[in-house]
Amino acid sequence: MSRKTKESLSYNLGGLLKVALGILLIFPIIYGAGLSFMDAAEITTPPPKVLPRSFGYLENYITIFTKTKMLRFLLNSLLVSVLGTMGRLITAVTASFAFCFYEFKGKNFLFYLILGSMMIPGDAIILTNYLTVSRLGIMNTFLGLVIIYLVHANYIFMMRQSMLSLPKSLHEAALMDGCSSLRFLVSIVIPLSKPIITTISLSSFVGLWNIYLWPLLITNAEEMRTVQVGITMLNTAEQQSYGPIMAASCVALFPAIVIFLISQRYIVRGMTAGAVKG
Amino acid sequence: MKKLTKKIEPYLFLLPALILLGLFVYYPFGKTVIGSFFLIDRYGKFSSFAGLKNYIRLFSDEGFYRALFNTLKHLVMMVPSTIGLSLLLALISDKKSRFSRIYETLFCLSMAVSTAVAGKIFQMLFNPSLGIINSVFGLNISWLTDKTYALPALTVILIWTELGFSYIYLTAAIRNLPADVLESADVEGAGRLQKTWKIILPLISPSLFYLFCTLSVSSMIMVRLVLILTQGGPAGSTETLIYRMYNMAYNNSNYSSAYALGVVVFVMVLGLMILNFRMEKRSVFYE
Amino acid sequence: MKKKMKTRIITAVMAAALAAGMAGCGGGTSQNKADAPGKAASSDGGSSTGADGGIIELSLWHPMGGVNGETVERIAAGFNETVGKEKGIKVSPVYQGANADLAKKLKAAFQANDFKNMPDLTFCPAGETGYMQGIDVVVKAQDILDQNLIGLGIDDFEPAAIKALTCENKVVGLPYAPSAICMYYNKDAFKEAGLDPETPPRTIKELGEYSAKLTKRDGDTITQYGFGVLLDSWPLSSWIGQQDTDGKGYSLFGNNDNGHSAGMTKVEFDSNNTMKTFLTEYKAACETGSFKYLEDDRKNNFGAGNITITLASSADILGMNELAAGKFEVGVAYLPKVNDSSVGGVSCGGSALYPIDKGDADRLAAVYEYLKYLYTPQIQLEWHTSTGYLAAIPATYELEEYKEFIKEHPLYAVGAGQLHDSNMNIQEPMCGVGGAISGFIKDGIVSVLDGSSDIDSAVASMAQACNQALEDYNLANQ
Repeated sequence: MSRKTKESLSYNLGGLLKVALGILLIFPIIYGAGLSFMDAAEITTPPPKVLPRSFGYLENYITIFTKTKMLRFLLNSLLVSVLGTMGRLITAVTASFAFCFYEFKGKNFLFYLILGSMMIPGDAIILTNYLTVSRLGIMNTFLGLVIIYLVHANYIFMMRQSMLSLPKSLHEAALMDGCSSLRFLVSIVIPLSKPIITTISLSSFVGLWNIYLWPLLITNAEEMRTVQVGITMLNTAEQQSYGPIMAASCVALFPAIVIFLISQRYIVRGMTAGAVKG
Repeated sequence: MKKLTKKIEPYLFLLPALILLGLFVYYPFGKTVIGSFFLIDRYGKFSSFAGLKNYIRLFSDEGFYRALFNTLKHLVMMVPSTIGLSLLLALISDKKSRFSRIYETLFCLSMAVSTAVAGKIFQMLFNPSLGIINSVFGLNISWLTDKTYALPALTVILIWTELGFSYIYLTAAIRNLPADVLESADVEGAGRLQKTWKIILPLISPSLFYLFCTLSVSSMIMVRLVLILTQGGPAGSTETLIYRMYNMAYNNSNYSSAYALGVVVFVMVLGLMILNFRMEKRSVFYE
Repeated sequence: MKKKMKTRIITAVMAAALAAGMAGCGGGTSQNKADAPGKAASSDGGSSTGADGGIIELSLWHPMGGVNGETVERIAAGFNETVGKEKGIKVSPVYQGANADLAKKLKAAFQANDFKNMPDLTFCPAGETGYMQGIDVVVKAQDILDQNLIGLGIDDFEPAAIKALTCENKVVGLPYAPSAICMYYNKDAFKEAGLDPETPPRTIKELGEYSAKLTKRDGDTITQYGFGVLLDSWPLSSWIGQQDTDGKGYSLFGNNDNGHSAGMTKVEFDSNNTMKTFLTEYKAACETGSFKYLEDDRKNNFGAGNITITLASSADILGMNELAAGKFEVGVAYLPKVNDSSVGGVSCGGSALYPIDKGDADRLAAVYEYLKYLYTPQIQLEWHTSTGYLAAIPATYELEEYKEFIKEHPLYAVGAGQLHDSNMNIQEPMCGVGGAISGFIKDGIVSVLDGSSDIDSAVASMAQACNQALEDYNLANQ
């Protein structure tokens, strides 16, 4: 055996081993997907199985699409995720822009004020936020659903880290040329920040796709529910029906995974770019 | 005029973020802080000034110390394991290869799974008689209902859900290291282990530090899985600080104590962060 | 005044900022406008309310999922097509999550005092009765029944259910969906073990004996448990209540008549010795090694044949039958008595209905119309036979249809029969910290069964923890 084949053998073997490890890591997902194709008897008869007898048993999926407004829930989640992500991007870009291209009074204080918000336990303030949203008259609306998510300190932090790598002289030059700051932000800074914007968008999308307690509190009409709330509706006090719950979980998981698969490369790229001059 | 615009411009750019944070984070938190000095009835009305009584009651309650212990125990199990495992995965996938796209995706896929969904799946995995874990390993453990195992079981689930992000974050950090530094190490004939220990780790220490901070905070305020799976039981073994607060407010209509606890948790997290940043100066390597 | 002004300014600034932000992203704002408050609820409702402005649309919040939720909707649809059509009322049931979530949402809505986002009629678990009593906009059952607003009086309802919803001697909620704890068992496994499936265990001691015979082992591991359930304050309220310690025919779980005559301030199960008696019997039965006393998805395991006897609500009958279908025959029996000297009996669980007065007399009148419909024996029967929950109106059991039904489904009679054979003073503790108390009971019992605590100290620490929780609660809610 030549050295080259030996190397490529160990290389392939190593690669395969890592893939195997990866499959082991996502085993819970495979398991959940398998359960969603089983009927109650198959789930409860020992020994426990990972894969269903056949993937032709679709009763669980039929149940969730006929007995709940699952499509509507998915659409709502999509809207919430998109709107919320847009809001987070706007607040993150504008705030970071101020932090990176300006010197002003209270800069450090404001930066720490924003970072400090990460340490406040969300559950301690959710009830007051409910009262605020109710007073604003936006209960049971998409605005009410997303309003508390429109700013995220972590994303401001990440965006700032990335923007710091842009030369400050750029701004001064632009101003000299008579370009307004807003225009400079929109036509120069934002395009240059594309990688980190992608990262934040995806991470935020997945995060918002998965929120639960707030939509539960804030929506009263079934038409306004998000998919995570919809899943818990299959859980009743009387029955623990694993099949439909797993099917609903898979339905909720599916879009998140697809988006993730498409964009994973960009996430890494965005993070790499963001870390250039940390 | 121009000078004035220039002066207020940064504030204008900060305005959206600050208004939202003010209204939906600092205003409610301020209310929580004020409320922690009052007696509040089950309808949320401040009935009388209590001074420090809520805090005194809180600190004289052994349930608080149990919740604190549980939370710290979770933190100690959670943070090193998550960072360690994700670092390991990131180190073995430091090179681009034919397989790398596949296993990278697999390694970080858990990032897309919500806590609720992960909770439901692991509930089945951990099920004593119908679940696959006991069956495969020939165990007979009531994972989520035995007070010895319940908290570690929850921690395992959370490690799994957090692993994806930590992995991808560290992978990005390693990929981003200047190639010449790594190459020069190769030239000098440093072994793989030595190279990792002496060069890669110090270089990515800011990233490790960032993970350490965010994971510590999220561990300190851990509650969601407890709500979904164990409701603090069995025998209070999974009652975290925030779950205790949640339970006080929503199930026991005891907002006074809940608010006080919320403030205490904030102070603890703040303290932890200050400590972290103190240590950072000594141990984190910046170029 | 100043504060209000401030809020308004902040609101305006924020709305402007948001609008600007959203517009920048294209398409965002129109979306938001389309979903203005109130509109969302009716947009999918189908029938137009604009043409004949006379229709009153009522929202009903409920915690029923699955088959039970479908029944709630079917009954509402039945009303909308008949009485509702005639009188211009449309009831729209909205599922708001299981009991805990529903209660959370109600409390938030009440705190916000936001009429627009409150239901017109809502379910609420019995544990929140004390809370509901203090809410002004909630119409109390005592007033409805005293003033004969829905054509029914207190005596028309299931007495134990009325008692369960009584606070300071006033009925707060209208009983709906009462239930009783029952013993479910696997008749085929009984036969296999040489036990008579028609004579299930009658006391805890017998339960232990039966369970031992029903347990199967493979070496050291148990492959089939005789009995399996994790106990909390729900079964315990029955087992404590049914011990006749001083000749009244029942015992109290907590003082002030279990919290019904005045707020509960301490538990009684320690001082009247009932918890100790129960634990002594139960520990002895458990020592057969055949009890699965930690929670292990008992319903699915019962359905799978891994547990042969368990405890569950009368409302579980459909689910249990479904799980066992094609595998074995399900038996339902009375809850075993603590011991021979106990009088037996169970507490009445369940939910309640509360109309909410939004200051519109016509709306409230429409709610009463719906309640009249809900409480007719025929509708109660439909509810009972479709869900397994018991009828709130005992007259239901006099119907010919019921007698026909019970001939074919005799197991349904067990829950109702058991409730009627029980002293109505056997009750769950009513207080603001019911969940916490249930947790302490759960932990205390497990600590005795796993040997980490002896009975006396377990009873003492359960009582101490419960009393502490009650004290904390009462301090904040004087």
